[in-house]
Amino acid sequence: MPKGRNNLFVEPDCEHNNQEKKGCVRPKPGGVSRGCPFAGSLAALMPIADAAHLVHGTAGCLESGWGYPGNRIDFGSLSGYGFSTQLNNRDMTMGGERKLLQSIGYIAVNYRPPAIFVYATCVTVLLMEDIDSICQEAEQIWGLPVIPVHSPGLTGSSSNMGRKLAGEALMDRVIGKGAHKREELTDFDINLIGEYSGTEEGRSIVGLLAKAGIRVLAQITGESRYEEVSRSHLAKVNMLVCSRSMITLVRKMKDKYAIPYFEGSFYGEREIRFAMRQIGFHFHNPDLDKRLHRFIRKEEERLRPELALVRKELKGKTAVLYTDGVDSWIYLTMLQELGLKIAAIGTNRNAQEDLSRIRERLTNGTQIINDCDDHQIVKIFRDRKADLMIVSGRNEFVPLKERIPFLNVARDQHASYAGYEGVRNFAQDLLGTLEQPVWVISGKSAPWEG
Amino acid sequence: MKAYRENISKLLSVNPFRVSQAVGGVLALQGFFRSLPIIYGAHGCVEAIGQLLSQHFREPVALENVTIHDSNLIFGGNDSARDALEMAMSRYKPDLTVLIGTSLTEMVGEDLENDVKQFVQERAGALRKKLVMSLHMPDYEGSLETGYARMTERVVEAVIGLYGRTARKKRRNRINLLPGPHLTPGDVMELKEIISSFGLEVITLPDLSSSLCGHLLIGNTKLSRGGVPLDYLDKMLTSGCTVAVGGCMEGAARLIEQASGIPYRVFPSLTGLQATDDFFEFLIKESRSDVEVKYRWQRQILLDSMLDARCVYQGKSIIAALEPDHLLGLSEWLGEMGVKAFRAVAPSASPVLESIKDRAIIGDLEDMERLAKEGADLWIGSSHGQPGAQRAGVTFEPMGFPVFGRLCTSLAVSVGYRGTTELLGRVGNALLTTESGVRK
Repeated sequence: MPKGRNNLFVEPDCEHNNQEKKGCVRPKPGGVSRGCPFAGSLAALMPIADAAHLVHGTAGCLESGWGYPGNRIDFGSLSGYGFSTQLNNRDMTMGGERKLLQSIGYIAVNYRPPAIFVYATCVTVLLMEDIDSICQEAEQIWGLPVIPVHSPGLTGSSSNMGRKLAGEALMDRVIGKGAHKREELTDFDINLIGEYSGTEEGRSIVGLLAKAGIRVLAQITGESRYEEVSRSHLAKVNMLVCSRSMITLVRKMKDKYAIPYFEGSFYGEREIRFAMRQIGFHFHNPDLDKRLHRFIRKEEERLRPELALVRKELKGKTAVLYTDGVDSWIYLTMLQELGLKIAAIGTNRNAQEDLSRIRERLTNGTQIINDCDDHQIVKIFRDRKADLMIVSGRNEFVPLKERIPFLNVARDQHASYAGYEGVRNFAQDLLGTLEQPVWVISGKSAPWEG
Repeated sequence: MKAYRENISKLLSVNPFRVSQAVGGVLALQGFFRSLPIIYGAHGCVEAIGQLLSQHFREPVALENVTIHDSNLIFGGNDSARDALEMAMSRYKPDLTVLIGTSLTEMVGEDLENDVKQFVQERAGALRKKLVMSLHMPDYEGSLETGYARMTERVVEAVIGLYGRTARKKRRNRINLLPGPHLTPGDVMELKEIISSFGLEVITLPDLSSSLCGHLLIGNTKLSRGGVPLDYLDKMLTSGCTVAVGGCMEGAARLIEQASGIPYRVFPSLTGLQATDDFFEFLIKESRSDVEVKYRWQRQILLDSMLDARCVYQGKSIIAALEPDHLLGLSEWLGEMGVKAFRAVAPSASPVLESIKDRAIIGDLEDMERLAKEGADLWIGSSHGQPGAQRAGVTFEPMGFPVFGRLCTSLAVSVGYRGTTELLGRVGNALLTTESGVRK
């Protein structure tokens, strides 16, 4: 790791910073796939739904992050739109700079977005396209912000780097550009900065905070408008929600705008309590403290009887997690609060920060397997006689094909798992999964199998 | 061919629905038993392909990746490619391995073919009767259809190379079936059933009907879950004839003909009464046997449903965004149903587009939206089009690839008499929804 230079591998607030020669994990061949920096940037910025997102690359690039129903946001005039220059073989030899400029013009004239994000990709880096100067030229011609995002896929092996780079682009070009009228600000304005996990999650968190009298100014990498993000520097506190990649952004906002930040999550009662207290701590307001305290007590008291029955059913059940990234730690508190034992956690692509977050949320007796493969996790599940596997992403096919009861936290959820309502939803989904008749039926043999 | 340039209207794509070639290639490989595609590209490419296929089929897909470092791009990446091949061979022992190059490797100028050749030479003994090969599938050209067809051709070529060009005795009662990518696993199953009802043995390649149909016969595996086994493909070269469904599969059929003189016939599509009649006529001649009673009934039922549905389809205008072969099939069938207008958008060029009735343009979903606003009763296409259809206020019927958020899409049948009846019901019901919406 280079010393004394300001690059993205140096993050003073990050726990791996003091280690020698350890940046991101080197990529390995195999089935492990964790997206690329480009996909990470796209996932982080796409939720700014009224801006246009133009991918300057070949056809396949946009496929990595656009068009899934889960991340389609009904918000702003351009939500759900994908723009691509779709470079063809002629552009490969002639270069695509002219095409890019005209494409920006087409979007500016026909769709009039508040801003256009332009994404560099592997191919444009190899073509040595000067995207910055084209964006500048376009800004002058059409008079709207055109923001280049430099995170081509070949520069790394995980989407985290891309999120970081997206944060850089926001810090350089967006945050601090907008202004609020005085009367539009409240005393308790905060930003939620974190990894985007569905529109529903964001909404339920904003709703929860609103009940406690706290206003969310901007959700960065969550459902938001360009204008909101550009004014986010006017918030009083930043909350880093379930993320390790955006730490550079909050740290830079702290340095530049003196906005303090803390890390927290909204999954599980204990986590919510912690987050609320942190918010209270940063505002130094006795009234707010009282209000938060009352709010937490009221909600927890309401939740207790509702969950009593579920807790009884779930008590003593054992779960095994086969998840990646934040999914492997954000649900741990909630699972344990609901009375489940966690026998093992198998992960594939977790960095040190994820692992330490896993550890601080666990009691003894949980096996943590880094670099876990499919056979290993199935074997552990059977050995420990677990009842339920919790998976994320395409790991779901492992328990499915082995007919093991499972819940896919990244796809099966019909409602948000965040906030107090989320605890209810999660409890219902866990119980519902275990009670599914299909787990029994799929074990039955056919009439001709004797 | 002047009218078939890419995106005539503009330089960029707004809401593109073109699926990259590599997806087609990986899809085709799922139809060969114990196969493993290894993609040499950025991690995002691999992840995107896996995601698309898994979400559409609701099935795991066999797919591995080669490590890409930025240093690879300067010093070359034969070591990375070798590592990936080595790992795949030692851990999973696939029968058929294809190293797939992307735009990235193409631009850097990686010599995948040579890498693979060296790898194979070094372990000639261990790889007997197994296939390891490479194929460049850059996403700056072609689409799902071309990728699928090219991969099939590559495998056919390799199989011919493995078993040699033969003038062995042909078996009249065996047919090679080459189904195009617009056919679902359910379609392929139906076709296999129809052909074998004539007492013919059928070799299907690629055979998605036994791999991506969804089954629990084998537990979790990193290789393809089913499909035609490699050693069975030896027999492909002694079949009586080859049937290709979809214009894009003609290349593979021709390769088989060139290698061992097996005649082939291309059916552009097997949807619709006329198309199915042609197919049955062909099978009767080929097998010299009679049609089963079941299919006589199915034809009766189709005819009756067509009579029932005539007012539903009459005067309707339908727009579709699909792969070229799929569009042609749909346009022929809708012509049979007597719709007023059928306008189509294709993601990439293909010779079959000229045969589509009204006209097909090459474009994106922004073009579809424009067509929709000019007035349409139904929008047919992949799930990418759903928001556009909603914005334009047109009823949406998912078809093609990818389709998200629906169950059993891979088992939907639209070929043969029964399949056509099923499709007629599905599309007709969507049209009825539009009508009842208007009347409200």
